[in-house]
Amino acid sequence: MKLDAETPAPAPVIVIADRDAEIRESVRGFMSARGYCVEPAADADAAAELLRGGDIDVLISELALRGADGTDLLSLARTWAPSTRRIAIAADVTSRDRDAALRHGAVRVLAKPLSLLELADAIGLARDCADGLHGWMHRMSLIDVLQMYHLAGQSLVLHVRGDIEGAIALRRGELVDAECRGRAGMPALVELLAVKRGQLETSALDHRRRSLSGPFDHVLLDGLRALDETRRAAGPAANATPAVNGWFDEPDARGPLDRDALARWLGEHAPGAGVWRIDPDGAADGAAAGAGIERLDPPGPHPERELAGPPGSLSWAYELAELADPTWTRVELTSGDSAVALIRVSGLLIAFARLVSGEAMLRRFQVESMRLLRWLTDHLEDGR
Amino acid sequence: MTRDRQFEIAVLDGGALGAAAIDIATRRIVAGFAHDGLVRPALLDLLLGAVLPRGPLTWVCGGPPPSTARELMVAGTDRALFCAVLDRGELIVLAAPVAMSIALGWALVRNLAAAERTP
Repeated sequence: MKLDAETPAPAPVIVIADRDAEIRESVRGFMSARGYCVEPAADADAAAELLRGGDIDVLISELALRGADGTDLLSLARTWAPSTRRIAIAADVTSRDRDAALRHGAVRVLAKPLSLLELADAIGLARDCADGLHGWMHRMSLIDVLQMYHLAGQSLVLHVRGDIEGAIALRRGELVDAECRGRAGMPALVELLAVKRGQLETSALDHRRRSLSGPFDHVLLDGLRALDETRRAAGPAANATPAVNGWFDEPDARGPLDRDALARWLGEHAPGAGVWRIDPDGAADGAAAGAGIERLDPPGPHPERELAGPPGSLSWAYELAELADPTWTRVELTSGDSAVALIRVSGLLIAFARLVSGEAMLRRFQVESMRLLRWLTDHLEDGR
Repeated sequence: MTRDRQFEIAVLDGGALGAAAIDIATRRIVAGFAHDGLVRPALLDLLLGAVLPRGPLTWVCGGPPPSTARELMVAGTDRALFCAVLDRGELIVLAAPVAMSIALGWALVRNLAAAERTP
């Protein structure tokens, strides 16, 4: 429903349930000044009454309430007011408290003494969670998460926590800002794309700075390319390695292909894609079946495996590349619903293929193929 | 602004080597800048399906291509070639120095593809 320009939107309603009257009043004063309607509750019964009585946007509940345990109130709120988002606060937050609160649907668990700015951020996040799911996930790469939010057209800030900390902001699915260790824009994005482990946390988009511009896939691909260049420049063979695309000129500097390591990487970073090592000389007409080609993606029944065999467009891509430029090192061809990439690195010819439906899948394929190229370059250079 | 001028601006401002729009039906260059030697007729024949691949990999990769080409990028040691087949019966071809970002190459091609075809 679209509101009339002259009809003011109703003020979002917050219930603050805390034994401490001073906290209730300070939250009421602070959030009322920000346009919220704040209902204080001194115990669980009063809070429960408010929840039963009307549309509450956000419930802030102390975990050690009188009348009932705070987690019980969170649980009740989930049943009685499922659209009410919940924030837990506690004097000494133990990991057990935190786990219990999150299991009961709390968006955030905040420790006392309460920072009102931190609380306002948490309320902003809670309101942002009105639609969609929220919770914990693991085994996600930063690129996966960025692509997910891009495809969903989301506006939010993604915080990276760990050895390297920073944040990336998306507005309507486009990358608009990155900051990391005092840097902003593309240098910050490149630094964050290099992070391999840590935690991710989201918050509502609360600022207007713009340090990145351009379509999402262009910005991301530029970031990945800059990362490639940074790594190659820092590597031991940097001086001997041409800037782009000529890195197989020194095959002696690389080790053999580790099929197990590559299969693990593919299972984790490009599930469903087909990957083959190809020997065009061994694949001549009349050769034995299977000669000249070896599948490298994880073997066995794979629920996400898309391609039973190499697509016909693979030979097409190879011949187009040979015609276009005999010195080719990388080719990508999209036709119909399949996309194939061929990569020549360290004397190896690797084919990467995926079914693509739509622009988003095509961009994912391009990012994956670039990441595969990076993996091959890194690992063959390392001699592993 | 003429389409030739749009190609000139894209090539010069984007740092590319040359670019052209080719009518697929007639193989005629309908707009472009610095397009001499940009793409060989044999490559066009293979890309546009007039000739089917017959090289060694057809033995291991099954039959003919399943569908018409949409996008092709070939990166060599000296240059990268970007091709996009458009629904309106045109092929946009752009050559770029190999040091140019692939993302930038595709961005230039998409900008040229978005330009309206002049009668």
